[in-house]
Amino acid sequence: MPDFFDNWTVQLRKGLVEFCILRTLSHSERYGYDLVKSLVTLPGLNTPEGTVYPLLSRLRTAGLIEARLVESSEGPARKYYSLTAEGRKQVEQMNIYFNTLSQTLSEIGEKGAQHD
Amino acid sequence: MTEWTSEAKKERDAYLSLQRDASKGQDINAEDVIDDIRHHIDEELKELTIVTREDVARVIRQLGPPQNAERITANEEESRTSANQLKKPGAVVIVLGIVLPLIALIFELVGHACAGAFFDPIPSWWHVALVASVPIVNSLIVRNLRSKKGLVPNWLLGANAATLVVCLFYAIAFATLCIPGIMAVFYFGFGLLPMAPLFSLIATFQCRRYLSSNSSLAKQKFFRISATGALLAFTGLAILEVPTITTRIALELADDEQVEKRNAAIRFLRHFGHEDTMLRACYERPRKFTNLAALTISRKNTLNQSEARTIFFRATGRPFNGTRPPSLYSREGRWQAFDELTWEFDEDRGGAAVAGRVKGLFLSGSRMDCRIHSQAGLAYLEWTFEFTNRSDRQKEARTQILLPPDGVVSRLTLWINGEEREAAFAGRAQVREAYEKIVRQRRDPVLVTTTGKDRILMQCFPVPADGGTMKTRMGITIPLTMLTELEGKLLLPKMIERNFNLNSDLEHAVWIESRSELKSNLSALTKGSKDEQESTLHGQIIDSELLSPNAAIHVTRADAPTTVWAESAGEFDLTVQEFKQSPGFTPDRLVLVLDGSEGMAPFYNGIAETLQHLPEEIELIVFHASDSQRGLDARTAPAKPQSKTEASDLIRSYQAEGGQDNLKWLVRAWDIAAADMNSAVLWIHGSQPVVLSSEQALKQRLERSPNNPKVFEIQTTPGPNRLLEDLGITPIKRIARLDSLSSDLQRWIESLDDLDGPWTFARERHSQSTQDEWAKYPQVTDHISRLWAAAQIEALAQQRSTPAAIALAQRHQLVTSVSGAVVLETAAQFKAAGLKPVDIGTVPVIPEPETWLLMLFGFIVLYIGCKPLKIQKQRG
Repeated sequence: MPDFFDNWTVQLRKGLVEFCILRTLSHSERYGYDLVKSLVTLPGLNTPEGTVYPLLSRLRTAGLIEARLVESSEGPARKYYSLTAEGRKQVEQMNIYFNTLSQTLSEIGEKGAQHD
Repeated sequence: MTEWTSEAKKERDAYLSLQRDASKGQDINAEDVIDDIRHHIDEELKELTIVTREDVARVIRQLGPPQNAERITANEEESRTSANQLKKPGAVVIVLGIVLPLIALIFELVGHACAGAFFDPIPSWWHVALVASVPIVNSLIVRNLRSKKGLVPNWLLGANAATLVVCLFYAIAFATLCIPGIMAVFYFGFGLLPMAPLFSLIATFQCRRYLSSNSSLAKQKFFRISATGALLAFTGLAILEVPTITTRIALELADDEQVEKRNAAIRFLRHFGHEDTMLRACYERPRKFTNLAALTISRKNTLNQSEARTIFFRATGRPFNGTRPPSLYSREGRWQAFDELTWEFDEDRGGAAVAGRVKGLFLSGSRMDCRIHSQAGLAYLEWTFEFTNRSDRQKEARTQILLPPDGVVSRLTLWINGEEREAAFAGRAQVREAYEKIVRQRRDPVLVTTTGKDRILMQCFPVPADGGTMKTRMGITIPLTMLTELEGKLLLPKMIERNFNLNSDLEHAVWIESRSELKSNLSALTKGSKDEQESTLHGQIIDSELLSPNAAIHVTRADAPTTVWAESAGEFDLTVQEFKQSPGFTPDRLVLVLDGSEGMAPFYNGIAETLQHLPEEIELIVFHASDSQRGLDARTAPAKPQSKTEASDLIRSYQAEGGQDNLKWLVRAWDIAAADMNSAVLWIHGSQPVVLSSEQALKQRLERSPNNPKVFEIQTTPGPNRLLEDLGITPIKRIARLDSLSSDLQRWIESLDDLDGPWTFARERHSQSTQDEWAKYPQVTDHISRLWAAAQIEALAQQRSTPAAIALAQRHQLVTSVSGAVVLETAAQFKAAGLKPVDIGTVPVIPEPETWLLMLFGFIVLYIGCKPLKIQKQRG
């Protein structure tokens, strides 16, 4: 049974990392390194640090996020990521979908699935 | 500024190159990703001064394998799992780092195997906690690393470093046992436990490697947390072990050949010595350690028990056997076999010393029955002892008993199979040889010999194991200590040294009866009346009450005759006793030797106060027997007379510390006193459990000139006095302890001012033919004959007429400096030893039949014997 659980969690996490990136950036612009560090410590996400950067690149290519360089007194310029307008729209849609899904799951947990 | 080594750059570039390859053909910008990862690595390592290949490798492990964005979500878990397989501790760590140390700890806690056979690795619960921390911390690390998150809290890094220190410490301590352990595994298939610390060290180090590879912390922070943990563990160990280690070193230095080193070490031990460590050394065999620190640091540990016991006294001022023995030893289950090899084995069995306390042996019952013969001015007391042995092997009970002044043991009984057996009295060498022979055969003897003036050693063996008991009784004839013509005191015997413990609820059951009025300061003793003429004092007193001067019983001898006489069983001569005042003694010079040992401190003020009452005409010189007076040599100390005020001020300023050598100061005091024709030495001292120098110089002086100067001694607290034991028959006069030290000293000082001396009993022997001359005086108990004989025996012994002294002791059945008493189990044993037990009809008893009672008994026998004749005549 542990194998079933492991496979199920892998399936469930598909897409969640991207959703987490976009949702984090919906609050404010973030320094790439900080963003990665905060995501990998999220309980249950279990994401190696190296996986986040390719996803950031893909979201940027898709036009959902954008980056800008900010000079730093501690070293080389830092790359800050933020949502584009398109990205913000996508996040809103994703939020609505996820909330509906979450609510459905809660209802199933309380009453069980019902057919009218 | 951070510098990168070329290997570090190569490692990074290789990883970035792999990342570039993985990003090819995807809808991502490979250079963007590479740039981001490069920044990430720089951020992780920016606090380092020099970045090495290992640093880069650590960051890369956190980043995970180069990722393809398409595959990330699908294979993320798979890739992570494979990466983590290298970082998770396996069965080896679990077995060596958790299971083995846990088994070793439980095994030692339950069985005391190492403590019994080698040394005690967990002498306190703090040590247990330290050892237990190893499997606990290792199991937490394993659990965290093997969890799905695979994250380890920072504090566990510190805890791991701390347990590494603990493992290292114990691995060093057990290093010498590893080789025997390996051999035991080879030959017997077991013996891994001595190697548990070493294996735990390896496993804990392995855990550290896993932690290091999994940690996302910068190298400096990782090091900082580890160093804190290690430092805490080191501090904890230091707090636990430094007192023990320093005491161990000082103990060895205190036995050094150089006097300066010895004295410095003793001073250190007095102020900083760890008492438990010193006490353990008193029970250890040479080169055998009972202590972890000792094993770790000891250079040679050639200190033997005797030396350790001497050092213990010098450092603390107390006898080592006045304290409960160290608590850890092997006793349980399968480790019984080691008992005989450890210090729990009573090495002094059958010997002439009380020595250390024996585990499991208790005095479970004590009873004193006493009758005071007020006309004779004496008492006969029977003290019954019942010993219980709760250990699993036979034990010998030994105790040194302080008799009242001039008291003498006149009866000894042992219960064998519920029957009373009387002793044989003979020369001390003969009775001791018989005793030792029977002890070797593990049969039932009891032996009583003297250990100095008014001191006896009683030893009995075997007290059976597993709750077995042994019962013995000794009878003591005690002259009353008279304060005035009418008032006197009965001093009770006291156990001043013993190798057994007292039952927690032990009370001495005391019953004293007399025709005189009796009084006691002890509230536990209540008055009663046996009949119209006999009054009693009875009750239960605890041992500390018996040891106190308050235990003396006040006796009023109203209308007591001054002259009495007695016949002695089997003797033709009569003993006549006269009660008279001896001539007074006022010395021109008094040399006071004040013991400088630790226990004396509370008495200095009282002594200083009492000295003010010394008669003006007496020249006073005071010596403080202490090694703290640097530069003042006892051999050449100046004889400077002091006024009473000067002497009192000086005494108040004295500091008492450790255990001091009084002998050399006594010799010096004797020499100074001997320069005057009419002088005295007064020695005020505490217990002297150890003699620190040879007694020969003082013994020679006392033997060659016993009458001048007169030497008096008074002991402040109960306890053994080896110095007096070694001196043997000595003219040193004991000042009896009847009250507080100040009161007793005051009484003695007042006696110096009197023209007439104290009231004493003088006994003489007269021919049977003079009986008519004495018939007008009351005939009393023949105990006065025993007291006469006891004095006569010591006089003969001093004249070195030992055979005559032994013969007299045998006739009067007395334990003296030349004779002893022994009870053996069978008549055959007595015969084999050339001894003859005393006739039951000749031993003193309580209540002793008075003459009129004997006559009445005779009449009754005669009447019964004649009655059948009368009946027969009537019938006839």
